[in-house]
Amino acid sequence: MIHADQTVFFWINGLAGHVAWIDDVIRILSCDLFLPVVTIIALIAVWFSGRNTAGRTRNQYGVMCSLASMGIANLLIFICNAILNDRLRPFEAFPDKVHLIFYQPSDPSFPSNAAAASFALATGIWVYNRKLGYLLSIPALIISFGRIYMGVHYPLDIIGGFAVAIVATGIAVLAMKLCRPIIERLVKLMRKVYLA
Amino acid sequence: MNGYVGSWAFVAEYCIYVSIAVIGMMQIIAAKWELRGIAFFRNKKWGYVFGSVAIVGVFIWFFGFTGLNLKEPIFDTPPQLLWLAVSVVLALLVTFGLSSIINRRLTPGAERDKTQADGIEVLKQKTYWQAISRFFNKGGSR
Repeated sequence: MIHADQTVFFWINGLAGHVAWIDDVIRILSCDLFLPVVTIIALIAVWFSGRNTAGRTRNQYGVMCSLASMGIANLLIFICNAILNDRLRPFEAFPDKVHLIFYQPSDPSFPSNAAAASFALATGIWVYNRKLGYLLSIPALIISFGRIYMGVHYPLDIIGGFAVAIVATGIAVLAMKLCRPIIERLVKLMRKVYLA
Repeated sequence: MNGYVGSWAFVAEYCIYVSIAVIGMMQIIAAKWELRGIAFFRNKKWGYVFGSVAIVGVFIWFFGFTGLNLKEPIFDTPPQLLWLAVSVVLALLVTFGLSSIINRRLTPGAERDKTQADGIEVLKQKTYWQAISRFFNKGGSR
């Protein structure tokens, strides 16, 4: 499995370093400053959108689930990093073979934090709105591909991140069910002050 | 974090970038859902144009014309989330404040006031300032 993981990694990472502008575009698309911000702006749009109060409320629950999933995913990654053996980043394991076109992250390779957080945002909203969930998976897929392309993650790290995102969303959905009265009050309060 | 990306100048640029993008998105939302109270323009078309130009323009500025170098480490997750949240709140305050000033002459008729508008629906007829003042004048209940 590790061998297949490395083979796929080198196949994707082998594409890097040939065309400067493609590297630049992927570097921007996969950094923490572009698509995460685009996703947050999209979530703001979803929060304020809806044909009627019921539709808008559903969207708002989706946004809350999405953000909660992302928070829980970050926490799970923190726990994973503390428990699991550190997997070296590709550029650390194969310093002479990897095309590194990004800065060197210092945290463990498995599971991918960026993939977990971005997929958690998508799967969180998917529970309430399938279309938006699929739409937000696009930035998550781009970030994930980019991380392999740039030489900072193996494909298995991304799959691990995706698994963490699904677990995080499961926990978020459960937590939202348990805290439903509190969440309903929160939404009502926000509606009273014209923020929902 | 070190150098430029760890500096306050970078934090300021990041906050400007996120805030302007959110302000742009709020104008598109205002145009799409006819929330006149938070729109900067009466004409919906201008709302779409302003929003799109603000979002695209600020992305081009941030990634093309600041000292950002993506080969250097950037924010850790906690400070990034903090500044992201600060920027979003700032953008909402600017949107609500500026639109309340621009639309201060927006006068909801008595008929409209009696409608069953709820939450942000109220912003179709009132500015945020008008709406929130009414909320506080009634002691927090509508």
